[in-house]
Amino acid sequence: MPNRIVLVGVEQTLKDLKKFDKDAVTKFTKTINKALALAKTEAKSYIPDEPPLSGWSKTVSNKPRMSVRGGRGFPAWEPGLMRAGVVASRAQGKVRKKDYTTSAGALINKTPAGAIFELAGRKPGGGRTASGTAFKKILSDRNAPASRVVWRAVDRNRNKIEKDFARALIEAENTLQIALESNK
Amino acid sequence: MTKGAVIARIVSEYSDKGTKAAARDFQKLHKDSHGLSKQFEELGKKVAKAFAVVEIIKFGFETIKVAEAVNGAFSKMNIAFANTGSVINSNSPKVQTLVEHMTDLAFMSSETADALARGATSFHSAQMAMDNLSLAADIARVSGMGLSEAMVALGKAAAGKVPKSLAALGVVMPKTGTAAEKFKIITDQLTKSLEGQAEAYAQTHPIEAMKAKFEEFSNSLGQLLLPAFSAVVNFLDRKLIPVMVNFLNFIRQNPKYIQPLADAWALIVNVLAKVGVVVLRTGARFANMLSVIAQVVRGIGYITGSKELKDWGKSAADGLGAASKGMLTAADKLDKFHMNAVKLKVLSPIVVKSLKDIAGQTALTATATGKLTAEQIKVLNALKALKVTPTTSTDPIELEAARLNLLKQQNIEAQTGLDKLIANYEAMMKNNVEAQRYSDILGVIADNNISAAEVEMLAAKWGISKEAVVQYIGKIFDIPALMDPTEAARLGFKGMLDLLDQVIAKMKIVGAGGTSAATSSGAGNPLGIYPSSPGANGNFTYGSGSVPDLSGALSNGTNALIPTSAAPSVTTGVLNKLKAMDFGSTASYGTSQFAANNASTASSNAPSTAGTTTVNLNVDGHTIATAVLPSVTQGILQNQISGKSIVYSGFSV
Repeated sequence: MPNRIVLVGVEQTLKDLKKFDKDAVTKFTKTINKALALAKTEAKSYIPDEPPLSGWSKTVSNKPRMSVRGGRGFPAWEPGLMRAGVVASRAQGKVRKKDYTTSAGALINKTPAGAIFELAGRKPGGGRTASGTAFKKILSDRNAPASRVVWRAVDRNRNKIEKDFARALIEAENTLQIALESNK
Repeated sequence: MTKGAVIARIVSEYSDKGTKAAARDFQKLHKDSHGLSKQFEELGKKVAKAFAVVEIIKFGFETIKVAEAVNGAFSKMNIAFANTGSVINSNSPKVQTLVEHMTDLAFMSSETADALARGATSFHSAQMAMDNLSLAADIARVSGMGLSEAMVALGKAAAGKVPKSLAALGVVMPKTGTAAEKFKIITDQLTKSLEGQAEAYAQTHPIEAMKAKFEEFSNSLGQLLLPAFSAVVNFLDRKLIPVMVNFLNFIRQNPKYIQPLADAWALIVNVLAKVGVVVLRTGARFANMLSVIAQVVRGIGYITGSKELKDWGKSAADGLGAASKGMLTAADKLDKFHMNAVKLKVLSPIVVKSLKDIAGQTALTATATGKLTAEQIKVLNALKALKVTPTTSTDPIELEAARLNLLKQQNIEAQTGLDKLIANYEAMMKNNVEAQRYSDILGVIADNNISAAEVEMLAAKWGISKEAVVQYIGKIFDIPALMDPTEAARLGFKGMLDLLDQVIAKMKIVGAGGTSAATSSGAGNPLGIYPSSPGANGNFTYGSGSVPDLSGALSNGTNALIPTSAAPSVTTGVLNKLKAMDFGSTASYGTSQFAANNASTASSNAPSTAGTTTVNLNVDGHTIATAVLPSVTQGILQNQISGKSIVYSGFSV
């Protein structure tokens, strides 16, 4: 799941553009949000109402296993909560440990259950236990292989999103250029 | 962000720190854009080879950065001025004059613009900022602070506060008066004490002054390159996404990672400038002319047969043709992106000056081009003299066709010349052979006879048969019996040789050493060269007196040379020749035979004494001894063989 597109000057362009043409900024934001919303809606649709495995509880356990998630136990399959946890973000993300990149547009799968459903089985091979291996296998057989939610949506819509982003940025830069020249 | 959340980044923006991941992306980009960068590299090589612009390119890249910095500073200044309600901006002549003045004082444009921006903010007046700029410059030079800091300090003073930097200069805030009056008192004091410091600094710090001038120059050039740079960036943004997007990101945010491609990138930017186009086109024309000249050299190589010259001409012509084509291609590409002057005017006030600079540069280039044209005309005239029509076409196919045509024409001329040369050479060779053979004959018959062994020797030397040798000699001495194949066949080699030997013995006209027994002379043998009777050895010797009629001798029974039936013709031929050798006053030698003219005016002074006789020929007063007679005769024969008609007069013996 590499970063496929790296744009330049998004933040600076919008910052400068805001001084001259707020409508242009709004237009840019709208374009980006629209592209992200499309992906977000699709990502949410990948979360089924019923749990992918029959044993995956739909309610939070009253007596969670203490050894799991610091005593919070295995997360329940709560489709509404999981879908609500799929959000789009254009926040400047925290600099990561190694690549020092920041996000200018992303989909986030926030909930623990959603993250498990998203990523379980991404690592090749079996699980650490027999039940773990069965979990990965059944999850992949009944649903798509990992990744299953936000990355799946992003991969499917990448080209369109990238084009929309690039086009919006160029338009914003052009608007900024015109504004700068007319204000000289 | 929620811990453990899955983040699917669609669009990322690198921070300005740069990282390993960024480097990896850059490497990937380099790989992806390998074809493109290779093209740039090739283009760079071609241009660099011709004009060594690598350093200029690097400089061009720097100038863009300078121009950006200057533009940024002036943008800030404009905003600050506008905030004060002033209509003055960077395009105003006052500002430009001020900037130029500050440049003379070794302050860079960006420094001046920044100081004005800060001054306008501090004074709340653009005009006051400009009015106090000179004082700020003096303060900056004396105190060692920057121009902007000095301006800010003055701004504080105008607001009624004396900063430490000014206090250190002895500024004390007056206690009475309005703020404006107090500030005027302070500035008057400072002006009085510090006036001229900035100028003095500029004069005593030439390097600093030069740096400011250089920055100005860089800015001027950078302003010219900047639009092209922007145009390219825009073009790449639109056309090469997503391949080039990483690259652009690095250019803007991680300049330290772009060094490997900086030259190539700067090359694109730099060569997009109009001046580059002019240079390339001029260079291409020049290379094209050199190419034509090289083609002529190649043609000369063909004519002269000099392989080295030919090869050099080919390689030079091909190389120059390729260089010319490459430069023109580059120039065409650059033309599409060259700067827009109207847009430049919008971008910076310095551009006005830059345009003047570029106009001057263009004028210089035009002058250079004019000179080159004159040189071209000169070369063209020279080529016309060589019957070569150079083409100014840059189309490689046309050039190649012209080249081939040129070579073809030259080959025809060369072939014609060569044919003549060969014909002449063959004629010379033939003459030499004839002359050599005649010399051999004279050597062989020096003893007045010819033996079978001598004939064999000549046959071996000449590479022909013995019979052919005898026939050849018979032809020389005009002996019909030997010239007639049927008669020759009847006689056989021995008969032919005997006949020849007898004729030679009878002739004895050029006896070697000139020693013979003079036995007769008389009216019938006035020259004394005809023997009246054979000597003791049976050979005739020359005496003086009337010329005997050899027909009798040739046909008498004792000395029969040939059958009686053949006598008349033989006698006539030999006699004629001998009569011709009688050295009458006029002897005309035609191509095929001697045209004898036994003139009545023939004279003789040949000595005719008993014993040894030395025959000397007097040719127009020049005495020719008999010892050199063979060579003289040889010369005559050579001329005869070569078809040259020679008339000798005044022969006397």
